[in-house]
Amino acid sequence: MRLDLDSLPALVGPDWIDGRLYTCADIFEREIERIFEGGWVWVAHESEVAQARSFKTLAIGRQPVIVTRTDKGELVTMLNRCRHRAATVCQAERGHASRFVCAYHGWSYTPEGRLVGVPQPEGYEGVLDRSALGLKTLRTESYGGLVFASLNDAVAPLSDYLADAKPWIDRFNRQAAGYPLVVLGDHRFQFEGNWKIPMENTTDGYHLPVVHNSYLRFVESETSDRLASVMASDELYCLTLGNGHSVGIFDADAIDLDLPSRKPVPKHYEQLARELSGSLPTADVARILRAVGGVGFNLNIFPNIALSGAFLRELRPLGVDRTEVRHIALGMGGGPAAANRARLRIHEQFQGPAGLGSSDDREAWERVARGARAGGDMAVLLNRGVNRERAAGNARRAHATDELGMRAAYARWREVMADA
Amino acid sequence: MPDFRSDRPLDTNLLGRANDVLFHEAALLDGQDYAAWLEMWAPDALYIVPTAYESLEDYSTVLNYIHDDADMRRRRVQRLLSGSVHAMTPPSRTLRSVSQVRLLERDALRDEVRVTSSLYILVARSGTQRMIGAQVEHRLRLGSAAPIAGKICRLLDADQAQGDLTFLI
Ligand code: FES
Ligand SMILES: [Fe+2]
Repeated sequence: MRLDLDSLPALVGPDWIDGRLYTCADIFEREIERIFEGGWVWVAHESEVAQARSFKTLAIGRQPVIVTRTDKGELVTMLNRCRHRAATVCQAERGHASRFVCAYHGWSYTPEGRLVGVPQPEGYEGVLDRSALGLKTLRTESYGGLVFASLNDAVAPLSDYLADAKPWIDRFNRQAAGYPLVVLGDHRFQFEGNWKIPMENTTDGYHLPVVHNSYLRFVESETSDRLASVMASDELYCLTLGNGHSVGIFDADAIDLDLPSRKPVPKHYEQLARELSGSLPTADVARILRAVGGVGFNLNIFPNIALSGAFLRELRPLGVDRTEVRHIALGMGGGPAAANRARLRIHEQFQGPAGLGSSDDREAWERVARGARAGGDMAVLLNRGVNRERAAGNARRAHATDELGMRAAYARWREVMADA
Repeated sequence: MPDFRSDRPLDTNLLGRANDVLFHEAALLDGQDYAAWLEMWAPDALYIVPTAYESLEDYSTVLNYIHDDADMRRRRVQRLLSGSVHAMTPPSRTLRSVSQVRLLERDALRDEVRVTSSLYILVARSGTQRMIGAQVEHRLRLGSAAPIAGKICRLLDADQAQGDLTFLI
């Protein structure tokens, strides 16, 4: 579908978007340019590149990059592109390397990106300035274990960008019960649809009892009862956090895991409690049991990372109608094996392509993508709760089942996309 | 239903009896007879679909797509049978082919054998067909009415992004 991009501002209203935001290839191209290659993008969790010389590869927008940890312990993101004739210098998705050696003509680079080896240098005497031919490094900054990089050297500091999301990142990290939060693995799946569909989903409390009806009835009846009250409860809210970020609360008791819970330990943790009690003091066991299920909120950080209850959701836009989603499992680094096993099993139950929750989300998202092919410029409504949204300091607040988080994300989208 | 408890002498036709179990299991899953499939499992069995292709000694310490004990298997099947699973509306149609069945080990004491096989699944849904391949390892109690004592399905592309896998591997 072709569209005059000058008309972009008119495609996003305060509480609706034009359906072509999901389907127009030209809009997608501009998103890659402006949002993914122009701003901060989440590239790694620090635990994925914990040791010196460890690395991870991925793409920012469409540009292949390497994230490395240097001998000095710094995080570096650089283009995965040989300075000679452009071949990628690292093929593995993750690993350890003291040198990145380009397999085409053998130029080699350090984990900082310095060019240190050029085979048969005779032909280059007086020709090559090696010091200027390191791998191109990108702005890389991290907060609370989350590593972001930007292809835009002029981007504002990450700390400013994260704005009011920062205290929520801190709260999210408390689920490691005093241990460092670390990545334990991930579930990867693709769906035929635009990346913004799952982005909206992160703070969509409205869909839970409907899309996850079969999960709640057959897998997790304890949650099911809780959820019934959730929908009506006033304690559950959605809050805007600046720059398109937002948080949706689905369990007010699990916002700050450092505070004592008002509820008894759930029955399904009894087994874990017994296992932990064998080797840990009571206070530690209590802290772990409090934290093991994750936090009671979903934090959406525009554009590509969500801190969602107990896991991270990464979005990788592959095309206007193809997206890869990674649900990244987290655990307590160096913590009790039984606690991490419990977290893994919790993740497997709901998440991923065979998970009893994610699979239905995935299906709903594909239906949105399919439906949006109809009707051209018809609106997608984001106006749930407009009537009860109110100011809360600098932020806006509404009920957790309202579409406030989406309104905030699209306001940011409009700002970035419509700029001349 | 084939008789897994047949009194054919174990050492003469173990492979044939293992084939019976594997083919029957594949037919049940293709027929979406999840209730009958559930009955094929021993209560202490784990059903595992790992997120990496490489074999591991212990899958409990890593993230898997599926790591079901009896309780989780039952919940999974109840959900599938509820008819309200969006990912199965409409259902994925599958056609499984089990081949290269090999007996690796026999534990005479427990009357258990370890069997590997190659599994291809052709999956049709919503106008597209795709192919899934996996190396499967079963532990089978051939003398039992619930012969599946363990199953690990290593997807060929386990470390790549998957499509929907609700129909079970
Ligand atoms: S392209 Fe890398 S050495 Fe030539
Ligand atoms: Fe969901």
